[in-house]
Amino acid sequence: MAKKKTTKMGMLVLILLLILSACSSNSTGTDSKGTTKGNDGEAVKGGKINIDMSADFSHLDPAMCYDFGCYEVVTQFYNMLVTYEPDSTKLVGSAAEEFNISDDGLTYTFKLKKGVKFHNGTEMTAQSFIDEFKRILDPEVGSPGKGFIDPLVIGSTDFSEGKAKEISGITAPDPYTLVIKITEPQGTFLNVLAMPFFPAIDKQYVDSIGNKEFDHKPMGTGPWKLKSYNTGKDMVLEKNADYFVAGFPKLDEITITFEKNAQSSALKFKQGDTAFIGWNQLIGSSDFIQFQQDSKYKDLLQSQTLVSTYYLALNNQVKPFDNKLVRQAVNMAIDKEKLVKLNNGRATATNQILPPDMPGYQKDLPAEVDYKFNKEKAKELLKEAGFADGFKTTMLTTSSDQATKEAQSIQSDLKEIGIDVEIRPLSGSSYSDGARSLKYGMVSTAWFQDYPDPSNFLDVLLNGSEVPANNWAAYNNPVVNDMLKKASTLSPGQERWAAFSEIQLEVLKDAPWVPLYTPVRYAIVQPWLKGFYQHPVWMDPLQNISVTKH
Amino acid sequence: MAAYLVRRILGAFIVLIGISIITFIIAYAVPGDPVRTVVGEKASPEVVEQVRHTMGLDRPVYVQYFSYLNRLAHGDLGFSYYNNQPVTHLISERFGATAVLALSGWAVEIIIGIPLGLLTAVYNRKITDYILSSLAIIGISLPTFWLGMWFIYNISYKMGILPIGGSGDIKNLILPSLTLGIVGAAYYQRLVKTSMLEVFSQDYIRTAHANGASSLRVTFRHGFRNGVIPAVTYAGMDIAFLMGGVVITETVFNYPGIGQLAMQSIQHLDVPVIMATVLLSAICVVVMNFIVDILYFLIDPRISIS
Repeated sequence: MAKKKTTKMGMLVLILLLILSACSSNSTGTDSKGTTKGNDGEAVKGGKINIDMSADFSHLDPAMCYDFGCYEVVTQFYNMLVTYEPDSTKLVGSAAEEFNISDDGLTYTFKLKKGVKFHNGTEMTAQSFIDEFKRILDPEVGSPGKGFIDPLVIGSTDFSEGKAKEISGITAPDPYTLVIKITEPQGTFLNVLAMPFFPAIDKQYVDSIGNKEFDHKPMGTGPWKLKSYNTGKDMVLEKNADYFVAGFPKLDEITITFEKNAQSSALKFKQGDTAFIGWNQLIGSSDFIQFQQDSKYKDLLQSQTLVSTYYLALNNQVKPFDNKLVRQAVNMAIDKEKLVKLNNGRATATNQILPPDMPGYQKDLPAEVDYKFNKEKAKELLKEAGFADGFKTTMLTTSSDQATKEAQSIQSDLKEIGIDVEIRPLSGSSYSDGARSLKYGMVSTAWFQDYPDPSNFLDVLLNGSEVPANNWAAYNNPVVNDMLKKASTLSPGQERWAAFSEIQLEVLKDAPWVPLYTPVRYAIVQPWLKGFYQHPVWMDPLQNISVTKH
Repeated sequence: MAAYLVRRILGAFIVLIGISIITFIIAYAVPGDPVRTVVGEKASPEVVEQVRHTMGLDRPVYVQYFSYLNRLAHGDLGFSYYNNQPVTHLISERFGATAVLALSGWAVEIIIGIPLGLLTAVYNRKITDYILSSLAIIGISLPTFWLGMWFIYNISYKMGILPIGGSGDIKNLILPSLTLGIVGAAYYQRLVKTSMLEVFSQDYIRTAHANGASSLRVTFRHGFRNGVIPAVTYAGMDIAFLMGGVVITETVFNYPGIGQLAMQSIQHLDVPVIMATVLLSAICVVVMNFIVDILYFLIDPRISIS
């Protein structure tokens, strides 16, 4: 018996040794501190920074990039004819030295900067832009940018349909002059040309690797060159030493890590490993509260009201939302301040379609269209509409945690006036497909500007011609459609803004939406990073930032 | 033996074809439009239809499936709808990373789980058993994401001794492997304990003791070889499962493996990548099943290969 116990004890020691040996492999890996610190050191000495990106880029081909994720880097590899001034919505020349719009608003002439080189040394000419316009119109490329220039640019449809070999409305009288002719005056055409769809590209390079390869091997004239790209893992941007804007970019290198875990991103920032959290990665709720409450981080936060509106699109074509009184009642029944709280205060409640930083926004709405939170009034309107006992409806929303929380808040508000809402969360393209099907009573959604012009909200989201593509409320008011058509030809300026203000009022009378809130984006920036700002149109200003000794 | 091999390979082939058909049908049955993955949410309906045609997605689903099979037979898995990269490139880039993580996590599971199972069996109903079994229950109950975040916060952030997620270095592998291993080890502990207790009650073990064999010899030479058989079956399926991608661990530690790729492809209805990841998982299961059967044969002389 004693022998048995001794043997068992021996076995116990043996097994513990096995476990300890397994654990000892952990200790051998604990000297990674040097590596982590080394990364920090590199960022200071070599003018290099690390940042996180919440997901890999969907596209790097400018013709295909149409989301904020890829805008972050596509605008670094390429130059459009015009761009926005830093920290402003004013359009200035980028690849174009100067530009001119004819008096009738139909001809745009661009004088290009000379000596601008692609990353491979080829010189940029007017043809470099024409080649990109052709790619946008080429059905084989399948660019989502096509609708911005076809049929507006003369000859675009013929080219797209294969009836012409050139786009007759786009010509290059000499290598440094580009002339674009459009069919009717369009107040936002310069804004369109500033979109990342339309930079200079090197056709020979694209042809040599093909469209698919070009989507992950970008090569343009921009401030940054692609040094390396590991899909789903990281991307390294290297300074374009021959960039035509002297002194830019200021850093030598930026390493972008695709980090899906927002909490880890916040920890990396706290460790000093990453330079900022801006457009590239959302600050999670708990981390945001912690940053706000911690004196060490509080002053590192920067905020920017986004040019965006979160809203509920009410299906104007189906019962009971085809009744204006019902729509107005829903507008008054939702407590938007609760939604602001659910966003940790990173939002401002709104009763308007246009966001505060968009021309046409009205500081004070007339009382008859300013649907303030008033449950009693909402009940009265519902009764007047013949729904005193309420009704049942469905609400489509995205399946994110945040969207679900907000949907539940709206659901509980509407329950109080007798409307029984069934929430239907869907993700990705299932969600947008569902919204376009127009089979839901309400769709909880948001719109972020393509460019700073009110038509990008009112015309895109509420014109009858946009049902169901972007007009998910199925709102179709011929008076509004006419007003939109007239306003679209006006040049940017007070007259145009006043026209769109008037259109907004006309729409609000019908209450096709419930505008919910305007989001406020918070960035957190290391004290040793200089030149960071949150641009009202573009993403993070990678070419403008620099580091100081720290 | 040859007939056995042919039968197994044929069976595996039929299983894989069946899985590919089911996956293809499911990918088409779920609501959503994969063309939106390519052109984005804001693209005009005209562009969407144009791209649908270019991609051949306007053809009947069975035509698309046979076209897929034809390409597959030529080793072409197609291009990802989401980022336009060849699927073979995406899979090969990530499978290596997942294999390394799976093997290291699996090793941690076994190194911790099997000795714990033995120990708790040997000390059954004693204080050592109660303590270690309780620890195993805690291990089994720990949510992977919680344990992963706990490691990241305490080991990587607070102590600063290991990187916060990522891949490419052995240091990046330690915490995800431990996370997988600790949660998974508990299963092995319970499995080995139960099996060893059953073995300990067998006549031949009593005979061995009666013949004067030491406890160490009885446990390892006579008991362990039989007691470990259920763990071998489980280990085979476990590694197959891990090889198919460990979504939560890969997401928490930002480890770019097959699990993350599968998750992303489902979110974007990226059918070629969905098909590839599902088929890869299925192949892992089929291959491991086969290996486990061979191992059975080697470990247990009562089992015949035929």
